[in-house]
Amino acid sequence: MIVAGRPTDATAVEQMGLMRPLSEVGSRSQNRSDSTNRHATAEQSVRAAYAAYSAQRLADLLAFMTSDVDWPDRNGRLRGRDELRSYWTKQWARTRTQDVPTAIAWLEDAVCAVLLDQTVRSLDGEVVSRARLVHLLQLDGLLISRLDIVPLAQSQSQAIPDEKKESHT
Amino acid sequence: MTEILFVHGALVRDGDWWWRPVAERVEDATGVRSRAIALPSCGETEALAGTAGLREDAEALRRALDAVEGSALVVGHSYGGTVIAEGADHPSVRELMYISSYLPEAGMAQGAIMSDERDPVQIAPQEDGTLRVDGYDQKSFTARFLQDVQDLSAQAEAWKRVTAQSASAFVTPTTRAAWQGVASTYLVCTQDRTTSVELQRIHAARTTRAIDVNTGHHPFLSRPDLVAAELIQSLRSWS
Repeated sequence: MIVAGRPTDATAVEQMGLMRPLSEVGSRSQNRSDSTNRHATAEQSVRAAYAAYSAQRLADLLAFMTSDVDWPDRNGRLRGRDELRSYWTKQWARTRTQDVPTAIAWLEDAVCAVLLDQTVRSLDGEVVSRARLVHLLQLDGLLISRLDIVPLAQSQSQAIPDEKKESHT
Repeated sequence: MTEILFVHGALVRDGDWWWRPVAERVEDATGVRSRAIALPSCGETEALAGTAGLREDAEALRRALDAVEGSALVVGHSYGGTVIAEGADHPSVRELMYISSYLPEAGMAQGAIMSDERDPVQIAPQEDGTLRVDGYDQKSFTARFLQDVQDLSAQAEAWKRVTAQSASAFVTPTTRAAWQGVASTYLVCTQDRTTSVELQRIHAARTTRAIDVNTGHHPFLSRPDLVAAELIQSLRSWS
């Protein structure tokens, strides 16, 4: 959803606690049944948020965000629903993006990773780009409080044509 | 004692079978024995389907390295390279070899590594938190992944070993880049129909030695002699 899959800085991932050695990150066996049920509900919410994004239902989409939601925008960050409203309004004046979540996996109790297939089209329907991406979502209850994009390697991103680096979302 | 550890790719199981043609050649020539790592994310251990991902795969490799009495040459195919990045930070590791694989930096995930592939493998989620290749039968799988494997029985046996794998193996970011500072060889499969040569070369540039092989995605089945020769050369350079 959102930022076209270009890299965010690695520090953003680190801030989410995901750069610690995996063996030190939370016990997955604790309260498995409770967390499983909670995660199943949260996954429905996350998928609904992506559906709202792809359908460009702005009010519905913003309702899935916390009031202080933290969002990537190229090299910077957006904060709060108003900034996101403005961001998506501008984005949707240029492109139509379909984000289809293929799989969701929980990395921590309130952090899930979403594997998604993204297709960006121009307003006349021409495909601008396709990509398979990984988004990391921090949740507060059922609401999304932060999104980060798992980066490509530096040299890999440099190999991408400049026109694809443009934010088309 | 020197040992080779093989780490297979995504969405398959039974590493012993995939690597056997190479392992036997190397052992015959050098006496060096090998093991294939059973990946929990592919249902090769007691872990419930969908519950084990990259973390558990890396831990399986780490445990295997703990059991090495001497030096290890770790070989990764495709996703196996991501497991190496996370799990091969170990004093027993002397050298690494990659076959159409990945050397991710810390903070990357398998799904993102493949982000810009023009024709990504179609995968579909299952109810249990796993993913499977989607839309393939033995014929189409062979055409994409095994087009240069002439042995019909090997084609059939390979298809039998295609399996589901936990989604978390694809989306969990790495926390280490164990390939850094370690001697390594990359076999670029120039006829690979599933991992582009361009993407392979990006990752090959991170190794200390890269070699083109005129094969598809599974040279250890189509040209085990070539893969074995590179391993034998590496092992002999140690002495």
